[in-house]
Amino acid sequence: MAWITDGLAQIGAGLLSLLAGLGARTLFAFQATWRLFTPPFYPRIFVAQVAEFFYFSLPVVGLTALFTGMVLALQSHTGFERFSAEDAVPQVVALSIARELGPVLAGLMVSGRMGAAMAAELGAMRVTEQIDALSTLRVDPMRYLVAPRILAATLSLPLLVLVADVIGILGGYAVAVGQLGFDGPLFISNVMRFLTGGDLFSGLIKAAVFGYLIAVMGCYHGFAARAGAEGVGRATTAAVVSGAIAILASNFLLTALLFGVV
Amino acid sequence: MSAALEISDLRVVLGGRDILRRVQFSARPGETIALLGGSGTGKSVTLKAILGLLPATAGSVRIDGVDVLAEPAARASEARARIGMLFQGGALFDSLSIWENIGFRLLHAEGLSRAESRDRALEMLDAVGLDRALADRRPADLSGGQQKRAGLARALAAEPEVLFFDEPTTGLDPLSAGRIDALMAETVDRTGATAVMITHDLASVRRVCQRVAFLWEGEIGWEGPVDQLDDSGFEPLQAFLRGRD
Repeated sequence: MAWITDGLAQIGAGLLSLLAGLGARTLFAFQATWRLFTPPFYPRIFVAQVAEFFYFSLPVVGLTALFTGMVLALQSHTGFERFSAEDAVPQVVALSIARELGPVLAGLMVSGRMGAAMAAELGAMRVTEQIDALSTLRVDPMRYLVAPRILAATLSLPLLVLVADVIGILGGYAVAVGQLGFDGPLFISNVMRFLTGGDLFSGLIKAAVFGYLIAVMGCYHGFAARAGAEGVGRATTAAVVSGAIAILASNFLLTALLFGVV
Repeated sequence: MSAALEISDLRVVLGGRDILRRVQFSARPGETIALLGGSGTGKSVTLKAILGLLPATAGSVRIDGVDVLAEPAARASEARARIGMLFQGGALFDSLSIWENIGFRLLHAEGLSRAESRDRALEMLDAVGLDRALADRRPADLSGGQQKRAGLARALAAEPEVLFFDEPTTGLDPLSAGRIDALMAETVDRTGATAVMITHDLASVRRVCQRVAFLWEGEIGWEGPVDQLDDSGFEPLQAFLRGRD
């Protein structure tokens, strides 16, 4: 019997730890979000973060979108040709990129790039007491370090995704026209005809939420970093993993909400 | 202007463990007190609890009579604003220039313009004996001793009435350590500030401090003038001074 009670105790402890972690992240997000709407604000930090976001993320997001669009055109063509529906390739590429693959893949790549960078930078500041120093200089670290990053990520990721959508569709276009024998103007007109503002908008809403989550996770784990370089490394890994899980889980909820599935 | 510091029955519990049980000491304006103790005895925790960076479970921390643990957050924050701190590693902000580090509080919390903050930062560079040419450099370009001086300049820029020095000479060669000691002593003399210094450097204690409080098992085990340090009669302190049990 002892092994049953021990097992249950371990499951209970794990569950409590999970809930405590979720609670800590939620509280952190609330505290940071509140500071987005109350002064003082730090526009210079915000602008620097936006610039950093685009500078470091655009190449990786652009490449991801390009190859995703290309693969999508190939795969959908291979599948659709089995029942003579190859003409639907442009629509499938455009809808898949705008609604799902654009925001999700960009979010995952940005989580790996910027979420990790935020956790590493803030983690290093934590272990070298720079965050404590901010407090002693009468500057709220959450307001100075976290709020501008969250705002920058929330506003920047939709713009990145918009660019990614265009690049992804162009990738699909290149393969469809160059390799699969599609007519170029027809591809474009099919995309324009089937892709609605709602499709694009839903992707941008998702991107904003993903950007918010990436920044919250990156900043939370950076702030929670302990124990020197090893702690910063752990914080960085945790930020990427947490960010990816948050993106995938929230993507399901957002898809259900935005497309009225529930 | 200067403010007295009185710590009474300060208790800090971290991770379910009593780090500080009943810490009690005080410092008068113009006086520098050394907080001595072995590694892990809670010296930095004491300073961080006073600054509000770690939560205190019980006790009182009075800065010029204002108990920052009992007062509402805004009043406590005002009282704590009178403290300047030199961190162990300097804790300079890597992404900012030296003058932006020194003028940080003036620029972001005191409402001074960038030009005014820079002027004041340059004056502080002079005060701590650093070349003004370093103003636009990054902290990584400075030596350890220069970073400590810049950290001290940052701590002094807003003219604090209480100064905390956390291991100010750790990692410095004897010459640089002597210069930092002289600078701290001169600063306290000139400003009349109340100062608390955490250190393991006994030579530094004897050069800079007037009194010593020795932390032992979460309490102040011995407190007295520096010149009585060797005759304290408190065995853990004597072992600490000898460097062996």
